[in-house]
Amino acid sequence: MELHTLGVDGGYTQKDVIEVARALTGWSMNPRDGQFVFRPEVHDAADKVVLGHKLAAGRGIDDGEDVLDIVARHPSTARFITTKLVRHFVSDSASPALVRECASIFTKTDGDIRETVRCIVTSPEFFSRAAYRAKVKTPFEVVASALRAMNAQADTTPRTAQLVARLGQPIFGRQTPDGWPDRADAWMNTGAILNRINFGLAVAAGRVPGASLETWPYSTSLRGVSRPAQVDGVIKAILGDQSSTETRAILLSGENPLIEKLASADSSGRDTADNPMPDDMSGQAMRQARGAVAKNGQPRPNAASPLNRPVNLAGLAQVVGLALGSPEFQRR
Amino acid sequence: MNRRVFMKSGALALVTMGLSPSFLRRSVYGMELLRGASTHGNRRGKVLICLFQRGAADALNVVVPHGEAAYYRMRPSIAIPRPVSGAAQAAVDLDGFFGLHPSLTPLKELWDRGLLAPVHAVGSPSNTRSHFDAQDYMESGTPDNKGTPDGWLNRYLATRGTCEECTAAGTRQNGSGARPSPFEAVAMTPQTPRILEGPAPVIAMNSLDEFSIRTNGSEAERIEALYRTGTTDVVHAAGGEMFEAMKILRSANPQQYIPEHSADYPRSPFGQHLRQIAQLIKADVGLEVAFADVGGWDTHVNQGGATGQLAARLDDFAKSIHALVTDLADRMADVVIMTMSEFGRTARQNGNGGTDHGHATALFVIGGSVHGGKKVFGRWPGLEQDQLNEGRDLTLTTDFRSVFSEVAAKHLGAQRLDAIFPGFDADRSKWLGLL
Repeated sequence: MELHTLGVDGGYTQKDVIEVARALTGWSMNPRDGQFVFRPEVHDAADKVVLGHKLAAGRGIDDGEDVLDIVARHPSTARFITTKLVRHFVSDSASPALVRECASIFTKTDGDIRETVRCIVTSPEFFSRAAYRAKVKTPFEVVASALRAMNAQADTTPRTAQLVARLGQPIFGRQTPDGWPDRADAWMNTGAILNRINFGLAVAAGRVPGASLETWPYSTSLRGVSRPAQVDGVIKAILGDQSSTETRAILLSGENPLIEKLASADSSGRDTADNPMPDDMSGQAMRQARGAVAKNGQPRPNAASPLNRPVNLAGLAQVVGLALGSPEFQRR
Repeated sequence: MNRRVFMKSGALALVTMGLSPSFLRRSVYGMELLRGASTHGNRRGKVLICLFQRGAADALNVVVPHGEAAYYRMRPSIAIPRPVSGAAQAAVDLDGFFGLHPSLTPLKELWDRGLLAPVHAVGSPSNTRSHFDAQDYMESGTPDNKGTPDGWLNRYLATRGTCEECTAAGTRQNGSGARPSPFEAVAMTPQTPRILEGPAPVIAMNSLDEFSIRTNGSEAERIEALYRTGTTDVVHAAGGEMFEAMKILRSANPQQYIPEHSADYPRSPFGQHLRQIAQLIKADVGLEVAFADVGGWDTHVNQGGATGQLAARLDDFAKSIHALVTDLADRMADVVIMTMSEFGRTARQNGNGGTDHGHATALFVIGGSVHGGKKVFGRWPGLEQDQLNEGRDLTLTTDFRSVFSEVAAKHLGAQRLDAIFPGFDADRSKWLGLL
């Protein structure tokens, strides 16, 4: 009720929590096949009152079934779920008016998510300027969008998932039972932005499984053309053809002779990236990866490797690395 | 223009590339920060290091009540034997009633030097036995309230200096009016821990080495320019702060670090994290609050006694802390280390040679200003059946917020205890007198 339906101020009491727990006694699983099983012998058969609804004694499994219906039809649940959807599709500061409007659709349609989402994505708020690229990508979205932009091959090893964890969002590894946050302030901080930038450089260097400039469809047309043409091509391919004038100028500055002198000798304008590293889980990286523990005392999933060793980038690879590390790429 | 001149006037050179003037302003501002960081050496501010033992350490085998007959009755195969002079497999006596687990022998030296204050029967008044909830409460500082969005250490950072009389009294060490260091709060964790979540900026990292743009080329300068365009949204702001922090860290050159006074840090992640906290303290980057955590305490099965699973965890724990104190040496006058764990474990051993989720626990407060080496703090409730919590655990006699607020107030000079521990009556008369 607190985390997934009514919400913390959704109008339930500690008594309701206890009554729901009593209603769900006997709900269990078969340890052999993981299937649901109701065990009447451990069910509390006495009568209960859940959120004002009386559940008569001796109804067995129906207690739990009714609890699900009562909770799903509660007005706080409509508001709670609609708020999450508005936050996800429009902006972090979900407009109370839009939540009210679409929560009434949720209630009217008996919880039809498609109709609720339709209400949101056809609203003026959804199309407003303020909502355009208002959302900051989660680490999962950063990795998925970078790999999609690179037309990467799907990775069948755990390494890509470990990269998502390294960026702060171990898949299925949220410590608290509320699920990963869908707000920028939870994902944007000093350490997080650094990891995202290093991730972008690692992708451009061909260190992330499945992603390589060799197999990037745009490479064919962008190799060997002028820096401005490369920059415009990369902005189109990776930043959705939208970047600030500052970003474009900085991506272009690879040609600047002042910068060239500062850079190490190998940045001669060739389109080079590191040799792909088939497996990078070696010495130092592993030690660093082991550096953390989860709440239950078990090691956190972590893969330090591809983000730790410095990259060598030049030409098109450099433009791609800069674009993936840019502020624009952090938004969706 | 040679390389050295370019480096010195880098901001100006970048302007010739047609970047916006706001970038110049921010870059010059960054240089001021650098100069500011170098003056932190004279500041010698107070530092609090919080160390979280995640998984619920078995307090009764950490600070052992060897004077309790019930302790030995309830733990036939895992109790730590009474201290015997010269015996390595027995409790290390502190005061004739309590002793330390033999793996904590390095901490006995800190006790003898008057630096170590154990607190027993302390913890959260919440009766939850869930790791998640109990850690959440200890980090948010609000037991039984899951709605608290931030952690108590962050609330300390966010509220300190907000009270005028406190500022006048000089509790803020940074009296020069300079901007606070981005390294004020550092967690040696991959993500910001709950205890440091909140409005005040925090740096979370696995290691100092990782805190750089990993390239051999010039991408770092260009990416810095991308984030310093003058846009002030959350993404650019995070990037700008990150580059400022990186500059300060570079100037402090922590890669060249060699521990002093033959401090021998274990090669474990925990030992290395403490070593890096010492590096940051000695680099004078403005560190005020540091955090690290260590797991492996959830000893339901085969936890062992004087040797075994728990003994191995405590060995790493004690050696790491001992190395940190040794390394910091006279700087410990300004440092307090505080350990914590979400709850204790059952007084009786279970059928698997382990212990299950309990209630009250024990913690250590260590530092030059700590009244250490005198006694085990906190009222001891006893272990007889009628003295146990719910008939199975060590009873709580000290709320963890009482210890935390005493340390925050006396060591860091925190004034807004009402904001740091909302809903808790931080009654100074109930403080244990740890500092």
